[in-house]
Amino acid sequence: MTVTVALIVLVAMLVFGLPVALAMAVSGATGLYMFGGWPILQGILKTSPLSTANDYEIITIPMFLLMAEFVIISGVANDLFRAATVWVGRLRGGVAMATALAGAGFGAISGSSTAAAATLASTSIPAMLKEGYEPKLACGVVAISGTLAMLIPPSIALILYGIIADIPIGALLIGGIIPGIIVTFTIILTIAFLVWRDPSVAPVGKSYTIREKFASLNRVGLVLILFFAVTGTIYSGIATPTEASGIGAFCAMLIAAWERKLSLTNLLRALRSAAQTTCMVLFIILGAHIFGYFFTLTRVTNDITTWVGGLDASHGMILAVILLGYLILGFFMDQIAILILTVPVVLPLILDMGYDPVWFGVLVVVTAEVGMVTPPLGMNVFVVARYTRRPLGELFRGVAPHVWAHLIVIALLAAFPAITLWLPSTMR
Amino acid sequence: MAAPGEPQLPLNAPSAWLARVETVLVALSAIALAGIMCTVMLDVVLRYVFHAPLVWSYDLIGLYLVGAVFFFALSDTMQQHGHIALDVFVPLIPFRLRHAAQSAGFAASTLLLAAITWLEYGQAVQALVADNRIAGIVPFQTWVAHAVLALGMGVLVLRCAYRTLFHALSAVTGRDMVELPPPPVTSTAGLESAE
Amino acid sequence: QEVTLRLADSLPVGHYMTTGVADPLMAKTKEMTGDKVAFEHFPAEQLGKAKDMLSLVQSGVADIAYVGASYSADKLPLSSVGELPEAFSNSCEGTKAFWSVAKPGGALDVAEYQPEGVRALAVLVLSPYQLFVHGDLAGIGDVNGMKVRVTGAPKIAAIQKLGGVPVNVPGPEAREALSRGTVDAIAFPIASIKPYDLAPHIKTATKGLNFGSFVATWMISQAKYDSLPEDVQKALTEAGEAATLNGCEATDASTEEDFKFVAEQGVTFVDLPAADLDTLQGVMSSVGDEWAADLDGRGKPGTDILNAFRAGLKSE
Ligand code: NA
Ligand code: NA
Repeated sequence: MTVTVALIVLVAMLVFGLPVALAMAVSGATGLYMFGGWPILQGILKTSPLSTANDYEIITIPMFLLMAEFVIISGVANDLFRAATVWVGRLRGGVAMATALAGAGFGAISGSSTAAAATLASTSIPAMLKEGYEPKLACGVVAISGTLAMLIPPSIALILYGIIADIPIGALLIGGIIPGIIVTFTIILTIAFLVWRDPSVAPVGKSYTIREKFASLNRVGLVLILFFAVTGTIYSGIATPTEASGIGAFCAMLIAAWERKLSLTNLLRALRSAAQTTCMVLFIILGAHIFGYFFTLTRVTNDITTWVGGLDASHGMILAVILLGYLILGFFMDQIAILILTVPVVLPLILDMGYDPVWFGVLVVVTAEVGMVTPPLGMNVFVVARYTRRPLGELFRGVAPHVWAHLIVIALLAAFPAITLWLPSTMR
Repeated sequence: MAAPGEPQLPLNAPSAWLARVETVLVALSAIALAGIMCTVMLDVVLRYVFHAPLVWSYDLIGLYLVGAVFFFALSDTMQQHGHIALDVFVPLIPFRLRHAAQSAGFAASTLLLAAITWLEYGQAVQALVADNRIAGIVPFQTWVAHAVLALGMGVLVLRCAYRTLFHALSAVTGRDMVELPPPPVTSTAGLESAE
Repeated sequence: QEVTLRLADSLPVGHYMTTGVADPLMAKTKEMTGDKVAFEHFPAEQLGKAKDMLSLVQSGVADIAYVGASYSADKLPLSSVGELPEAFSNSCEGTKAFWSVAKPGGALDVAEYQPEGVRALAVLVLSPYQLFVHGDLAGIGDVNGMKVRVTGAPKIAAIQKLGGVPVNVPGPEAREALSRGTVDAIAFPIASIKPYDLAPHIKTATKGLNFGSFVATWMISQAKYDSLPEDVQKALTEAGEAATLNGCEATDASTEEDFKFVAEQGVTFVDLPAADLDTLQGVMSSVGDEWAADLDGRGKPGTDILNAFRAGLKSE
């Protein structure tokens, strides 16, 4: 009964367009009040807001967002995309494939999927539309390519999973590399399939000489600097993964200044924008905490896991049920909220079945990626819509083929843990 | 209604007054954000090059700065429609019902956030009186963290109360009298001018 | 069942502090009351983070909570007395001395727990932290200039007094930091070496020294305690005392195994020269004295509590 009321409040507030964070906080608080009255509710309200913010490790979120802001200001994102276009050359759908490559490249320096989608949307969509790409295809590839940033290290999602699950973040980040490459090629293959099926959706690209190809790389040096600032400092031990995000932001700021693009106005706008996005993310996490404590106190999460754990089914079946649950949650919920809500309850079950937590983390993040581009709550699609002003329905349809391709990748990663675990195992 | 990508301008005097407070707070949030970036950078350089890291950076960032970034940006982010909301169903809902429901939703939110603000204010006073400090090399006082939360959340309470009132007024008068998020554009116009 | 109690902690499921203290506490309470009491266990931060636990038990969200002294040092600064590098070399010595001041009616209970409205049911002081070094450690002088991952004010002060450079690294990144040289050494309880998989990145380590420790308490609010039937109160108190003993004995037993395991992984435990041990003892007791003086200066009975704890250590 209590749970039903809380869920009704949640759904009603979401449908009427109230902020997701408020919807979760109010519905969770309603449930807590019905469960234990004011004493219990005030107990939760006294602790969860401050402890959402009193956390050193959470700085990866604002730092990577700030870094993305500086990268856009500096023009490096544009250069990266242009170089990829030149190298892919005259293939039909080449610019779309270049978008996937640029997404992977930007993923290697940024940990935030929405930041990556924003960067790609502002650089590659105008270029594709100018060349006569079908808008649906152009926007779809941008929305899905943005998700590469949360798989290819560094990744906020993987770092957050590591913090929640209390497992080494280094192994997780390394574990994301090969799946990230696989997803990149899956996106490219999906584009190839789409243009083969209907060549009218994308034109053939321009061809470039070898000289032009190498000339396009001269600006990629700046991206390499950022790559070493973030990923390099982690591997060399100069800094921890958490600190590397701050170093990345600082170096991106220096690059923007070096390129003479960093005016005081630009700097303030970047800081404010990153602060706002951080605030949005943390507010949703806070709402998810309040809602999550309500679910925990009423033993709902416990009952669900007990139910799943008690299923008379093979481990593979249980894993499939869990992943299906993540897909369904991804339709409606923010990925970070999903991680915080579910990992503490699901992970013990996974460990019980003898699965590897690093492998599961990567699997969960790939599955969560799908949620970034599925309706009704698909953060990356929203970001693309904000930059392009295209109708949401068209964007969701445009990204659909990539969702199907993604499901195949998930099945592959689930069936063959070695794909994920081989690279971390060489690090010992 | 704000145009996509453009800042939201206040629609009336109470909103404008609140927006001024929000601008001051979000400036502090931005400074705190820059502070985190510089502190981390300085800490790593001092440790790696000079073997002398800042002993207070971890506590300063974790206790004060992240909170300042988060809570001081809360209300400004609300005013600028930065808090993600589902916009899929909203256009399908009749005007007066939509505004009435939003007014109710913001009223409930105001109540909850006011409770949080009040509880945090109490904890700030308590921590100040008891001189509670963390066990760090620099024993930072904990009341500051509570006070930052209470202040940022308090302004958000005012913003939500404002939304409650003016959504209700919109429902009564049948006119938009409150800031609304930019609409999803369904025409194909404006493609070339996309940022 | 007439009474249901919610027990909350921030420890991973199956953690040794849970199996050593919380589980026996719950089991014995149930046994003594003839299953009149039922427990709902919320592990792994399900109700809040480690630093929220004191507040959660005060507000009644949790009835019993695992409160780490260093996580709540803002509200319970005196409880850190058990984390000082004092003269004890295993968990039971530290735990028994700490229990003598923390148990209801003890000096710490009067000074700190009663004003906060809470009551300790059980406590555990871990085996003292040792220094685990990526490279060589021949004498205590080698600590000079070493970057050491260490948390908590008294432990940081101890490392600083030896010339070490304290570095704050989040727990999940500790292994990364040690293997890549972000830090040269780590001050850790031996029991954490295996779960964090640190042994492959350690060459030398100390044994039998005390670089400080960690104090865990299982608290109930006094109001909740007073509201319980008398037989349940009695059961909780007795079960708590038994669980305290059980916890430290289990910790000491596994400490021996942990040392063996770490040694088998190729870590050399060094015996420091006698002169070093004398130096160390002087340095470490000055850490405690300064801790107490600092609290005295803030109007809290630091010296009284330290003296009571030291008396407890002597009487063991
Ligand atoms: Na990334
Ligand atoms: Na979704």
